[in-house]
Amino acid sequence: MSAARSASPAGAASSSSAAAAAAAAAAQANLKPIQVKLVLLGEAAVGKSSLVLRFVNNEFQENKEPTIGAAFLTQKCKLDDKIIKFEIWDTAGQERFHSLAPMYYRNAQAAVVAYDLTKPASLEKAKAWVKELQRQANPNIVIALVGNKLDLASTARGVSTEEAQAYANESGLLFLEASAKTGEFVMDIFTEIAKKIPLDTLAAARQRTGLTSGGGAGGASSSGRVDLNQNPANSQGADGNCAC
Amino acid sequence: MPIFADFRFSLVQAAAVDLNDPSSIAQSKAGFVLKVATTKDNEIRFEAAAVDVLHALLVEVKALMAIAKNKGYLAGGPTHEWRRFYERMMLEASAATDRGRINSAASNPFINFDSGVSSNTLKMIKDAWAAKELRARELQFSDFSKIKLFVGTWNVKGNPVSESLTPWLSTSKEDEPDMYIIGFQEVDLRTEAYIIGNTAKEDEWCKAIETALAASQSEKYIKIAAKQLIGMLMVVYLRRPLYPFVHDVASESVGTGIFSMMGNKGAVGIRLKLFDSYLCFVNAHLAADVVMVDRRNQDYQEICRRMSFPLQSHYKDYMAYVQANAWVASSIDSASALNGFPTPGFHADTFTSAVPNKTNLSTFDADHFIWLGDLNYRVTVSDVEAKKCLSDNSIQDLLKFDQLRIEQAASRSFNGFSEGPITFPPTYKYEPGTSEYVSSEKKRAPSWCDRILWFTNPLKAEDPEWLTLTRYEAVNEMISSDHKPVRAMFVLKIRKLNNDKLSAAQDAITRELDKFENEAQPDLVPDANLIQFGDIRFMVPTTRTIEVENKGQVIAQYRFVSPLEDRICKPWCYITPSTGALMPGEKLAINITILVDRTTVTYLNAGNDSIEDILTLHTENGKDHFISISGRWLPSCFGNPIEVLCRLGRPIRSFALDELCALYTQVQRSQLRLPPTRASGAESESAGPAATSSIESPSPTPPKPFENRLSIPRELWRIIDFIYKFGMDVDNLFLSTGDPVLTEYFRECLDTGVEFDLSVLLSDPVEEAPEAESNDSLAEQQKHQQQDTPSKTPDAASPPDAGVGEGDAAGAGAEEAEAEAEQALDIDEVISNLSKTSFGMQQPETVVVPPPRPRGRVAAVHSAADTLLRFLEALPEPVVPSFMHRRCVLEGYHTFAAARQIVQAMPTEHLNSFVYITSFLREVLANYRGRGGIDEEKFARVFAPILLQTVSADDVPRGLPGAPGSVTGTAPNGGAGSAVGAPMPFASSGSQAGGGGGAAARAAMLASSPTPSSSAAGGTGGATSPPKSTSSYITNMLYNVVTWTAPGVAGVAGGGGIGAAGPAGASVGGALQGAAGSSSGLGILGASPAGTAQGVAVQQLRANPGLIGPPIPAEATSAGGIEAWNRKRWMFLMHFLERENYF
Repeated sequence: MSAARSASPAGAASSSSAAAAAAAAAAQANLKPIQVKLVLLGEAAVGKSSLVLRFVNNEFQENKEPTIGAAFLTQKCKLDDKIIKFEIWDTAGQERFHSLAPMYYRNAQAAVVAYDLTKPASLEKAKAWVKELQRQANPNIVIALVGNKLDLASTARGVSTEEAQAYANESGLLFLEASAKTGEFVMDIFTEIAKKIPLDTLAAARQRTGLTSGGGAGGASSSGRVDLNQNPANSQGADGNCAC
Repeated sequence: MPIFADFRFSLVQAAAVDLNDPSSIAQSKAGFVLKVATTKDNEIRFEAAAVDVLHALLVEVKALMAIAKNKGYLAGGPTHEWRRFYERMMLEASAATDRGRINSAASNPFINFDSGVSSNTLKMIKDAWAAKELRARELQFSDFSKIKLFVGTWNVKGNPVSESLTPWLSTSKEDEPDMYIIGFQEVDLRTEAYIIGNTAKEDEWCKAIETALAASQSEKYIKIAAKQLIGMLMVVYLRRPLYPFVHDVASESVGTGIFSMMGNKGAVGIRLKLFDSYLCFVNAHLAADVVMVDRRNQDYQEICRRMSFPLQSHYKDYMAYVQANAWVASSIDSASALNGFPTPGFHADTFTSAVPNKTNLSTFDADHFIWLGDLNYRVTVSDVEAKKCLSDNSIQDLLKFDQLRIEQAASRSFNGFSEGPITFPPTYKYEPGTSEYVSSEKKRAPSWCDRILWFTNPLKAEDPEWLTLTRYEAVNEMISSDHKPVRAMFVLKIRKLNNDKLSAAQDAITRELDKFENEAQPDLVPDANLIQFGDIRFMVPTTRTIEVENKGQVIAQYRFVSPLEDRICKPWCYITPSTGALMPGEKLAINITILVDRTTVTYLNAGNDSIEDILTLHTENGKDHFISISGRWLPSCFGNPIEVLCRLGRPIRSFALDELCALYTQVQRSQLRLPPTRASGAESESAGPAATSSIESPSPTPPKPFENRLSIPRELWRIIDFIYKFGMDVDNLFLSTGDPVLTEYFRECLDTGVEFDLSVLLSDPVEEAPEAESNDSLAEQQKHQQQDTPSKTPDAASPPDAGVGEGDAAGAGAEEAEAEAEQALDIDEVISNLSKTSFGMQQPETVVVPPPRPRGRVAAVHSAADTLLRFLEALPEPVVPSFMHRRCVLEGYHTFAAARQIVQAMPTEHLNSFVYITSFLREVLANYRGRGGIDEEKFARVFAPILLQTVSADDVPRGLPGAPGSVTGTAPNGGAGSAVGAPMPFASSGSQAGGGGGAAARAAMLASSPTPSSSAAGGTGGATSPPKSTSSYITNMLYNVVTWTAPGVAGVAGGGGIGAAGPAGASVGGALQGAAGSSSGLGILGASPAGTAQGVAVQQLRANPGLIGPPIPAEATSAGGIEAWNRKRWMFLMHFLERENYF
């Protein structure tokens, strides 16, 4: 019925690079973030909470009170064209709460094991955590060893970079030294982790099942959880429905 | 559902409960339905397995109710208009059904909405927030430039191009436009144009435009879009250098003519993106004729509604487009400007309600929206008056009658549109070829049919430079049509995005959103992370309270979690409430109670557990708090194995935990929990009577260590001794409950080794002079002694209880003799030092147990009796070890000999305790039978479940309930028909029949049932009402049967008694028990000749008057099995209570 035709030479150009940029902008606004559960472990007072606070709020607090429990924070992070939403469980470092840690590292896709680079003993504790994670956590977990308090390195360093780096290399860990106080290299911890996590597997797994990973610690309802990373090769469909 | 001040609740059980059926009561826990209703048709049902789950909900509803009451919300009132928003949300959420529901549980919501809001909805809210922020920051990432726009409209009356368009299209050099939008109407009036698509007219007019532009303008232009609908044609020309910056060109048409469909009237639209601004143009030709003003309004609305452009494929839906172009005015923004259309068919909602599922763009989704065309609005005066106005050169007077302005002012059309000041004369209707208005037969008043308007961008209303009109005029030089062409020139602000800055702004917003999300977390803070409970004693609940406060902005829902599956804390810890929700600012006291009961005491005594735990208070979508609890366990004699208790040389409290722990390990090593072989059982049977025959009453002797062991637990002796001395005569001994304070006192004395304070325990609670009281109790004591002494005298001469169970050991005689001497001495001691026996225990001087207020002797004795029962109950291994229960029940209950044989196979300490307890009970019965109704049966009923306590369900054989198959099988065999009227012969023949006895007895039972239908239905356990009138008699008679047939072990007792019992008993059993229970009894006992009678008798014992209830349905087979088990358990015990001399 229409006797008209669209004479739009420019219309053909709409797939040009400028249009692609617009599409990318649109995609960013609508991209579903990939959720990554990350747990922070390490001896008491090495600065786990401070690292998170720096990462999430870009803040630093002197004399933070010890964490008795596990703080939960989220932070999105952009990597290339993907958005990663870190769901961070910042755990209590005190030894008496050690037995509760599995509740938090279970199902985690990433772990930051922190030590205080002025205290050699804290690296030993970190090594113990790494061992535990490698033994009991999800086998594909990405572990980053982080030496915190880099701002004190010049005056009070107790662990050499080489020593920690060598240990990280032999154990297959990411390694960084950072300072929550100055903010130096804190963002890098998380971007390095994001780079190392098999995001495509995670995203694909989620799309297959329509599930999101993580959620609260909620140990009691762990049966309702689906560990996306446990068997990335297998189909996740088997225990498809989250019953939480 | 909105909450109103007026609504009702009802709470009902989901399933009916038969109060006579314990299993049904247990099941009924699992089904409560809470109904909340505002009106009859508006009811919500919640189902829950337990009432406590509903608690949190009720708290929530109450809070809402209070708000509703304060604000005066009423069902159907105008105060609930807001909920329409949520209803729409819910509609959208439910469209995303399952997926949304799954996501909602796992995601971290921006705000802790209730679970009814899906995470999709939450994502929508978050995205909308991000878009709003992005829009607010537009200036951070946008650069603006200005373009000049030429808009022209001309109704050419179907004429071909016959004159140059230059006068219309040419501009001064400095005004030269960047873009031309030229709309024509009536380019093609031929009828075939409705059918045949034809671009000839477009080409013709475009050529004319291009010629005019080439001739008059210095710039080069390129056609970027054209759209024709029959007579309507719109073309867009762009200055060549701008060509690379045009994207997303789309064109559409809407016909509103004949049938509201055809293209003789309607509009064509073109939408395009120039740099990063969306421009939209509509060229319309609305209904003609002065009286058709409503139709024109309607055409306008139709075009607004129907003109739509496809969404670019990279947007998944309309909202995605809106959020990705947050800075572009959308139809949602424009909806408010469009409000007020009177036509029901077109309301602002038409836009917004369609939004979530929209897959296309409207004309209002643009930065600039310009409407041109022959709108056909006329002036509402006669042609004479109009022409007079014009000749007076008073255009403004005539404009007052312009229909478009009138309709706009009345909000009936073109709401939100603006138009430049009209300074030109009406553009219609001229005599073609001239610039004279027609003076024709129709007497048309000259009108401003041809107009150019723009929609005021609601986002840029404050920016005067967003769109400026520089010219708005008619071109009178053009004469070929009866319309004069109109042109308008605009300067538009056009946006250019800086992608780096945009990206930075988006990142900043994401961070902010994250921060909000983290701040919007529920923040529940407990006032303590460490709770000290102090000393923890057995069965003494200790409660500490923590207060949690919701310091966050949102509802905080909490629950306690644990890394351990299925439980949130150690089994001795109780948290109430363990789940809940707090409003912001609300505080809640959470009680944490430690109660060590018999299920947990052993672990603590053995050092396998300690009063230490870490509770995890988990806030949904928030952080976890750890709460450490600790207390000091004071070991108790309750909940220790008899073997351990027999090795304690001093009060358990005086042991350190690691000492106890070592003792446990020692006992566990030495003790093989294996049932003795048959051979050893037989041995002990033969040897037993000789060695133990003299044990017939409890010894008042404190147990002595025997090879570092006591023969019975000291605590058992102490408590029984107390009752023995002061309370055997008390009415309803063991049948009444004790006083909790006294019970606790007794327990504490046993644990610490402190003497019972007799002066307090035996005093009456009267407020008289304490002297008189103590005198009374002393007198009473003495009376007791006198009473007791005669019965004890023979004991003194008899071998001591320490020898019990060692009887089979060779050469025990000498030891016995020794023990005898000791014992005799002890008795004297005890009698003389009634109130201060020390038992030779090392007693810490510091231990003091504050005695309770006097409550009288009776209460003290009942409490002591209670303490005894609880003590026995708490034994991790019952007095009769659990591995023997099956034998007791399956074999031991029917003859005394069998029962005795089993008992003698018990481990030493257990045997000693068993003999001690039963002897004591016999002593009580011998002297005080009938006091408040105590008799053998009552004692057996009280003690059997404790002495033969079922530790785990596995100990109850599954076979016991009896397979229904065997029931249906036996009934026909027994010949129900032939049995009718001849119960006695059947019963006796059954006993002769040996193996077939079970079937026969069963048949007898069925046959003698008073109700005929029962015999027919008997095979399936059909039962009718019991013969209540005879039941009491029957019970008594059956007692006789049991008691005097039982000894006749090997069928000597014969058919007479059995037969006699048969008819009467069977009727009860048949009626009451139905098929299931009877088959179990019979099936097991069938092999024994005496079994027949027993099997029947067992059934009948259920006919105890107190137990008669409605018929038990056949399905309750398993319940019947447990009942049978219980019954046989106490029947087993009966043997030991009935006999004066059982060894």
